[in-house]
Amino acid sequence: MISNISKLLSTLNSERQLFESLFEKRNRFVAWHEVTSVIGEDKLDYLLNAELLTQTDDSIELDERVLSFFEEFLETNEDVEIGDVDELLINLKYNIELYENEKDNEHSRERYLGKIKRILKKIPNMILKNLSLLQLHIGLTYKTQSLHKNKVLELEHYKLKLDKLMNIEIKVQKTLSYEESFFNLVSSHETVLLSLRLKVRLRELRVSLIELQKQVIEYINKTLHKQHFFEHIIKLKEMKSALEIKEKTNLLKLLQMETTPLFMSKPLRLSSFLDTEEVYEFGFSEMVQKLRHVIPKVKINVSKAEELEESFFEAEEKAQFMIDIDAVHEEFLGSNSDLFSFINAKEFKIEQTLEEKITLYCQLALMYESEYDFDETRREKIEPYEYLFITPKKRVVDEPA
Amino acid sequence: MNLPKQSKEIFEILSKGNFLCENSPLRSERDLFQACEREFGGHYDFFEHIGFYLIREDGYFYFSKELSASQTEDKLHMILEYIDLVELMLQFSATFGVGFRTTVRELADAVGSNVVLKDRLDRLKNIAKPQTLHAQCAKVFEKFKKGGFMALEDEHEERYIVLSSYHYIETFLNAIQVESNESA
Repeated sequence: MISNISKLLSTLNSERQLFESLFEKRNRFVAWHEVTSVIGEDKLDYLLNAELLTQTDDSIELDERVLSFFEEFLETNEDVEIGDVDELLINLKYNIELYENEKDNEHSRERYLGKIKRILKKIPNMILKNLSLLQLHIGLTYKTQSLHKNKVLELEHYKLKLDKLMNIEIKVQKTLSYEESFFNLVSSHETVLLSLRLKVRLRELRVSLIELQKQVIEYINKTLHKQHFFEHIIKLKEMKSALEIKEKTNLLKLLQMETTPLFMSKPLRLSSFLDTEEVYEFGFSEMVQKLRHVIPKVKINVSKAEELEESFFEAEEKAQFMIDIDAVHEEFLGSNSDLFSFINAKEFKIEQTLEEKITLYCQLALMYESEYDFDETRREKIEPYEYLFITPKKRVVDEPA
Repeated sequence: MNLPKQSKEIFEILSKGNFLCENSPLRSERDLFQACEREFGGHYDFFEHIGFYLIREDGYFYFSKELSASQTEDKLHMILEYIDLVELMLQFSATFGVGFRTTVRELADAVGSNVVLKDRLDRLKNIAKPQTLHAQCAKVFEKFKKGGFMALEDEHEERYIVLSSYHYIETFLNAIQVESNESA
């Protein structure tokens, strides 16, 4: 145990390098043999006994009191410790009470007053330190924490601390006004000045605190919004994969309702045999740039055929005589003669030969077989041929009696 | 009507289907945005007169258009495509959003060490499979860039920035709500 300041300072000084390196490595694991290799076992035992160092299992670290002294003094402690301010307030009240109770002993009164002054100086410093730490942490967390869940968690954590700090600030205000009688009565000009300065300082701090609170809430909201958006997108993607998105959401309605940027409407569709989809995809212009050189710049002369003569377009008429077999048939049905006699007797616009008449006779007989009566027993003669006697069928069935 | 001299440039950008963004990496575009912002009313009336609807949103402008039936179909496909793209980027970084900056290399590295991302990337439609992972990632950025939602900030580093116009996608996707079966 070291019980006096000079011994403590000289010990710290003599092992300066060790303390330095241990302080630098305070967040790391420092093994026992690492320390002994520097200062030897005896020295280490001494420091452990003096409670400047502590040993846990195989690791050596600075004693908590030493560490917090270093950290606090060098302002390297990155943890926000609001409880300390609360502790100070309790001490302030306690010392004021002691001061007020002590009426006779001037020396004791001085001592209490000294403590009160120290506390009054300390309070705004501590609030400021915590405030700036919070500001730093909040900004860093928002900007650098990549794990989403932790980001929200950390921001919420700092918000809580900030709320506490704001409460402390209010508490300090209250304490000051509660102890107003003390500050009014106290003879020490310096103390009064300190309390007034503290009040001013608190007002400044409050402005910053409120500002920071706004900021942290904004950060949290933004982060949460992002989180919400992410979850939303994942849900949409799932529905899209399941091909449900059109049916189960208001997407189709939205397409109609929402305004559409020009590029989304793709107005420039060309009709071509090219895959137009490809044209609208990116990379197309690069492709064109590449292929441009491949395509020859000189136009190929396409060989042309000679012009067609005017006469080609002139219409030529060609008349051909054809017998309207259908009309002949109809006419024959109306006549009373047999088929061949009818054809033979008929006057055609162009004179028909006997052979042609026979051809017509055969054609009619074949085409309208069902409408004619073929008399198998009767054969007529026209030199050098013999023909079957064909008459129209009697239309008894067709005409109702 | 008193329109600033930049109106012509504003029109040229917007009428090509581009956005005019507040956080464009190009100084000239930022200036145009400011000019458009200052004289919004005048611009709106003027462009409406010639058949374009100037829309002002949070940090960006664009021309809007009424859709025909076939165009609605196109837009639908585009929105569906962006669901995939946005999801990929969010998987890559939860902080993806307006103002987000990243490089092709960063995405490629992330994809290289994350099978989920790799799978997402490989499944993207309309993105051909180029030779290298880097080129494949570059295509994702190009896709966003082509839509006007990202801009190349540093050519050498291939660093892109997400423009304010990305709000459009964000807002649109957020507006998609699942319709409950009761009401249907």
